[in-house]
Amino acid sequence: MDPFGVLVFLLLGMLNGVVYAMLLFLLSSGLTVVFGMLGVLNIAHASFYMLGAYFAYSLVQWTGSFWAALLLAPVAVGGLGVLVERFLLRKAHQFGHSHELLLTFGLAYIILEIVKWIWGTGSHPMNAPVRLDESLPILGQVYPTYRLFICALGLCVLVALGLLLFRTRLGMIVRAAVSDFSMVDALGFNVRALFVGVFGVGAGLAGLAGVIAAPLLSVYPGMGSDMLVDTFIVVVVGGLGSLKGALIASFILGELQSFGVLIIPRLAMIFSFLLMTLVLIWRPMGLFGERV
Amino acid sequence: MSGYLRLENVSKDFGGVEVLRSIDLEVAAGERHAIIGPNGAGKTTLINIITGKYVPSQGRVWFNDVDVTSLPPHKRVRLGIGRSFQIINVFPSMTVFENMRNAVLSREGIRFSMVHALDRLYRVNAKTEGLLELIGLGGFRQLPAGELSYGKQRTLEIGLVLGLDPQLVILDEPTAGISSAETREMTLVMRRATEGRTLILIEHDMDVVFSLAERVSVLHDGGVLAQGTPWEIRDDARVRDAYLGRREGQ
Amino acid sequence: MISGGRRAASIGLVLAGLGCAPLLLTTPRLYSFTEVVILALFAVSYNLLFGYLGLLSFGHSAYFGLGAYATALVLFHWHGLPVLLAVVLGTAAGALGGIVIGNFCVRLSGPYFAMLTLAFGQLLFAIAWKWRALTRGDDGFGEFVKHATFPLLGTLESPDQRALYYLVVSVIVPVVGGTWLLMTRTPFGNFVVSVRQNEERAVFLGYDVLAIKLVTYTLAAGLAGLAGSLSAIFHDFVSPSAIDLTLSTDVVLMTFIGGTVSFFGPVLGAAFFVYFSDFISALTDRWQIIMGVIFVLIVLFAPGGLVGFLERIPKFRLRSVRSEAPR
Repeated sequence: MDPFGVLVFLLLGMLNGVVYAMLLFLLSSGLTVVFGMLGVLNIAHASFYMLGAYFAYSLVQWTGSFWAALLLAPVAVGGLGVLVERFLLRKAHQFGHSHELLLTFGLAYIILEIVKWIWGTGSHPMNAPVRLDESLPILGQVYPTYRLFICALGLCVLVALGLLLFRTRLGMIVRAAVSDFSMVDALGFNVRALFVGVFGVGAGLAGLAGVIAAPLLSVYPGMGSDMLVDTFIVVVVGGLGSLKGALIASFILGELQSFGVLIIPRLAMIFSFLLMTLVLIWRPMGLFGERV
Repeated sequence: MSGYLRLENVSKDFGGVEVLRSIDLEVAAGERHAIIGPNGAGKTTLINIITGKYVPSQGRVWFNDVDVTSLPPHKRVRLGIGRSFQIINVFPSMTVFENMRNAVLSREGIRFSMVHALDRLYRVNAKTEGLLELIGLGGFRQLPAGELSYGKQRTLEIGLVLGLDPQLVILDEPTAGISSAETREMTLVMRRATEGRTLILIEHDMDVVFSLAERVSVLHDGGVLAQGTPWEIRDDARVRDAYLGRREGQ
Repeated sequence: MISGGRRAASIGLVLAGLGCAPLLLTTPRLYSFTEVVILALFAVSYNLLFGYLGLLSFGHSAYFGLGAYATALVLFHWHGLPVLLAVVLGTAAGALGGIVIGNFCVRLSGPYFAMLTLAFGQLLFAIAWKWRALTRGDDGFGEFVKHATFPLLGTLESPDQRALYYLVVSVIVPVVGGTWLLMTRTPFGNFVVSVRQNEERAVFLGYDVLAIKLVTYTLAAGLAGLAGSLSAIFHDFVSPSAIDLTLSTDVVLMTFIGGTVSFFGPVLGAAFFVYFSDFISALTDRWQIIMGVIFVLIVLFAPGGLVGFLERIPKFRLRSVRSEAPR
């Protein structure tokens, strides 16, 4: 292979890594902020992701429009998140963090079984919307347009989140709450509403990730648990509670996955896995986290 | 059996915030030493460094001429350092007897044993009974520790330290939150129980300090402001200023 | 607390029942019952982590699987091996996995512990799935029990369910009994409970808390390996389902539903899990949803589990782990 070909190969590999990183970031951002603020590791987060995909699948079946699904599915999942926080999580809170964890676990279990019941246990492939279902020529190779769309969308969400968190008063309150929740409470802010809101938005982002992933990975019951470990790894490496950490860790993991497949095709997960173990041993608060 | 403690140039900062500055402290074997100072002076941090919860950013800690600076807490306990806590730290659902027995089991080195039967450890159980009598909680042995009155929990808190039979006893504000009548009782218990041992006492109640301490160190702003007998400290103007918030020289 | 005499009588009754079961139960019922016994051990081992140490693991099936595969492989390749030796090897495999993995995991707590155990569990599952040369991957393999030598019986031409039942019970009952004695009557058990109640105080009483966590974790892993080993023998088959996420989540469900505050709660939970799912499957395909809902209801409204309910009836008061609902 000529040097130029190698370069193109590497670049496209990196691009694949970016695609996966975007997916991971959408998923992990909600998880890490919820943990930073509420102290709860939401195992059902991956279930929200899965529901987003399944909702999108059904919406596309009914309306024929991917764009409608892209808009409505995350909202539906976000709404579900609000209900979960308001009625279930809050009740479990009185027993402590272990209980909240168990609750989210139970929820994940139930959601998985309900999904299998309604949509069956098989895998449902989903097509990308017509205009995106092509390939663009890049540097002599062709690259799927849909993947570029994922990158673009991820970037938009990233910018939107950044603006929301760093340029609005609400965002400032959220950041403060992640950093020191009791202080924000003592200052008189409505932390109940904050909880519900953050949890709902986090769920919505996970749902969005699911919608986006559907044409790429298909819609199947195991998709949540497949992403679960990688999402955890991102959150741990980045630091629980740190959005910046989630972003950087997503990229690290995305590239690790993309190139790891070339080195050990069947057990590429071992790289990200080693990374997580090392971080947990040597720097348990992650790259940018504040508490352990 | 000694119980000689020495801190050499100990400093501690947390992420840039300096809590302790170049502390030099020597407590002789058998000495009764009180550490006082306004809140935020760094007293509890100092205790945490002595007992191993924190490692100092600078300086060394010597116990019986052994460098224990980086030794983990449980190993220091085994060397003979016992501490009580400012906020009550007992085993709430276990009975008073079981609480005390935990300390005795540790002292006897029977911590891990998978083969002994607790009920048959006659010496341990007898010792536990004896200690409970010593601190006046014998009648409460079957009660879950969490159900004791606050004052009695405080007594148990100190009792646990004794169960370890330590050379150096560190009591962190043992009379916090209890009535003056109970304080007098507690002081008697403390004196009886720490006979022959080195005592480091953190206290705000000056009556207790006068009752129990031979020497006092005053901690202020992370440094040792003054050292001397309780009477010398009481009359020291700098100490008064520190408590009242006036700067030196005003 | 049940009084001494009553307790001896109850134990005697239980043992007699276990001994006579093959004579009283039909073959499919005996099959279910044996499964309950095996899962009961697995759940008890899980509760050593959760009920006794407050550590929530999502990858406990790793050790069950290690035990199952180790035993199956050893019997498959060495004909004539005494079956009890195969069981010991399976247990050792689980324990070894426990020491290695536990060494990393017990330094963490709460959600970090949960995440790392999940990750390790998934890793081992992936290995079992993909290393076809060793494990036959997804297909699994079987027919290894016929090579084993049983005490008193020699080799078994065809799997004799009654013989296997007695093997399972005669191993598990003493093991569970011994573990119960260990946790409730020895300094070791006392130590573990103390750490659960107030870890900081235990440290400052001179207890090496990290060591006790590792030892308990290894014990839990070894017992899980034992359960897996017996399971492989009883079913005469092993596949990645012995090491997958479903098994890890099932054991969480059954342990918690049974009740984590008591040593025997998980036994109740295992029985409930097997029999209730059998019962509900007759009515609907989706018994898992109902089981999940029961689990969530218990988490929210009855954290003591089924044992929590029973403890309200003085006759049934079992000796509890001295701690409140897990925090």
